[in-house]
Amino acid sequence: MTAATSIILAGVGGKGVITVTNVLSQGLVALGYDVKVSEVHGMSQRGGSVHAQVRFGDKIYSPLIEMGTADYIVGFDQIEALRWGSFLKQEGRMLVNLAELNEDTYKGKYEDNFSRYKHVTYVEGTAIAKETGNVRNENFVMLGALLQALGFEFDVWKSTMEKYIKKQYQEDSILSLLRGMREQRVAREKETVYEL
Amino acid sequence: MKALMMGNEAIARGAYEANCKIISSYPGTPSTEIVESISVYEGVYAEWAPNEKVALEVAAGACIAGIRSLTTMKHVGVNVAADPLFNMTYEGVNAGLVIVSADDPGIHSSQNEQDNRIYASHAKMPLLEPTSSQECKDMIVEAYEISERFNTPVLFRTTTRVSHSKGIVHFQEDLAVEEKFRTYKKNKLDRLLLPAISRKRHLEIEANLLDIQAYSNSYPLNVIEYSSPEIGIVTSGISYQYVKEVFGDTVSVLKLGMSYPFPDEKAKEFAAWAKTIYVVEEGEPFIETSLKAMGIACTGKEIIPVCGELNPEIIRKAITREEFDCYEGVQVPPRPPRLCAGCGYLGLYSAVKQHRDIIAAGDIGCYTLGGTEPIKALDTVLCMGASISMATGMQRTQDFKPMGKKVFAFIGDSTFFHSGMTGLLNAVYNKTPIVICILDNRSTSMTGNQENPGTGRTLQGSTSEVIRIEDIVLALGIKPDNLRILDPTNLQETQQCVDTAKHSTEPFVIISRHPCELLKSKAEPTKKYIIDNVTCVNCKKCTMLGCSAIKIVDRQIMIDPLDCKGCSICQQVCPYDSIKEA
Repeated sequence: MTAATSIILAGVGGKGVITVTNVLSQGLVALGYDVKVSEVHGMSQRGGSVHAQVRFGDKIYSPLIEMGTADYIVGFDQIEALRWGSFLKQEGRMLVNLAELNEDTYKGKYEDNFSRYKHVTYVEGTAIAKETGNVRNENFVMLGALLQALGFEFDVWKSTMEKYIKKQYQEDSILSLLRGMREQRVAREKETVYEL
Repeated sequence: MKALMMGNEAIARGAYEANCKIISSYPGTPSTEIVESISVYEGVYAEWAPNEKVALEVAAGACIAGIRSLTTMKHVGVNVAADPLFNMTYEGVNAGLVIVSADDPGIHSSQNEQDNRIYASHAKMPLLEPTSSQECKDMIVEAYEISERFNTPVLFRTTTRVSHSKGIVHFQEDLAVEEKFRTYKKNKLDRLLLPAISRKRHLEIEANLLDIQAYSNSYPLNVIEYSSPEIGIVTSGISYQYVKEVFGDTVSVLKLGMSYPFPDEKAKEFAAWAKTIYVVEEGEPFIETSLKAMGIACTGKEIIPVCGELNPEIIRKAITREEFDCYEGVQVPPRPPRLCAGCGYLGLYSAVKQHRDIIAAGDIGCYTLGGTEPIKALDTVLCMGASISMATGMQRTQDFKPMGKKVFAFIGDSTFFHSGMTGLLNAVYNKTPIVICILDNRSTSMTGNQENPGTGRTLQGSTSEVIRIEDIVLALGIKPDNLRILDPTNLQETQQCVDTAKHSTEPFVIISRHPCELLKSKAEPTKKYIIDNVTCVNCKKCTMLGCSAIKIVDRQIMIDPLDCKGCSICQQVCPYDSIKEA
């Protein structure tokens, strides 16, 4: 029996956390895993912090991830990644989008905090999404980086994307996902592991 | 086949499979998606009722007339429906009736974290608690069987983590739903809850509860999972999943799918096996109290918190005193939910805030966010509809201890239909000179833009009468001179109106009408605004609006072009003419 894999996806309302969570969890079901997903709907949709927890494996009980046990934290920006930092297990991996946090509340105040985590991948999600023609696709770049980190092949996910993403957005989104996968591969090669 | 389903979607599937045909509900997090999901199945009638009391009564009528019915609501919605809820046990059902209460431990999107399992014992009806999406589907089907077998409504209790978590559900896709209905017998005296009949019914209910308890002892989802006898854990709902996550198969578990009437024989059997017993349940010590009343020694709320949600780490720490190594947390600024850029509420609150002598009674909806930073326009929020009635009470205190204040109520369109109308009637009838601002954004927005009587469309998409709020207000006795209808994005008009209303000596209504931003198309707005940083003196008047498009970058105020909706409210508040159309 393989152990459960636990993933936290964190961002703010309107940035597509729920959309990629849906693609990810449906793809995992298609691959034959037991899957549980936890989301909170309601006031969280009004621009505030939004997160989802996804767990998959042979048999999953809790939809909630225990502190210190998440295998991956996917931060759609640096602030939301850090918010969930204590959920990451020691050998877990942070995937952080280098979002443009230009507001004075955030700018230059939190970047240094990532050195405490052993495995961090920085993803130029926002910049890549812009290159692919739609700045709102940073969520799919992040999903691509996660899928690559999980060791999945692109083909399964292409069909899942085609099933769950509206036709007019498919081309951009799939391209962003592919770019995210590539980004994670490159990052992995030049990664520094921080000694704790 | 199998599909990934939210607990709420699985409840809808189960109700459909159980031949439930009539569904009436009022939206409320975390229950809303049940009705939205079931409304798309073939051959069901599903409606949004104006409030939970009406919804439960519609479902009650349907089941008595012989068709299985369902009503769903959030935990505090059950308070609104409590009158018919308690009496339905006396009334009895004909076809099955299931009432879903979706509780919100952790208060993700509610005013409190009441544990509605207690309603089941108080109202003397069986209680089912699913632990997963699969059980949501399967147990709803059983709930209808139980309801009909024992002639009682069934309370089906979920929590946010059951309703909103997704899990795999196995179901038969092409299932032919068996269409069988019950006959209705006219003039059956049992249905008239007159004292003589109710006294008789009470005796029957007590006897019935003993029968249901016997059933509860044999109910397959009240199950003992035998393992080591050293530790035994009694649990229900989502807590079961957390217990299994932490302990796997290393401890014995008594899992209660039906925790009221309490399966006493099952509990005795478990107590005879397990040496040390823990009760792991979210909220109140509901199961624990039953065990202790039977004299079964157990540890529960001594170590498991009453407040907040449970999770695996709380349970692990409480029972094993172990926890995982964690990275030290980083304090980052909170990002609470905010009103959308372009929301009409921003204009109205901006106008009201200028008057320090206005007390503002708020209500339940997106506009509750008007009480938070930086808007801070509201003084109270209690429950659905309370703004108008509380304003009345506060205004009445001015006769005894004048504070020189005028009381305004702020209530949304859907909340007004839900339970604001009677408060308004009371204010008019008793001549209390409050000001009632009805924030009509043409939608039930906070729960996800559901339809309501004002929108002219029903849940299932057909067109309907558009119920005009101004007509209701006038019919309830507000004088035409004391009614104003305005667009809150026109600040000058709004300010004048608030000023006039403040000086009214009679009940006064302002209908602040501006459609919800979320209803608009995703197309780019036709105009946007920018700040001229040469003339801007950083007075921060615009930032105090609470518009989420206005940000501070390099100590200068700017409007994020990605977020600006072009409403122009900020341009109207700027005293230096520094905000211009881009």
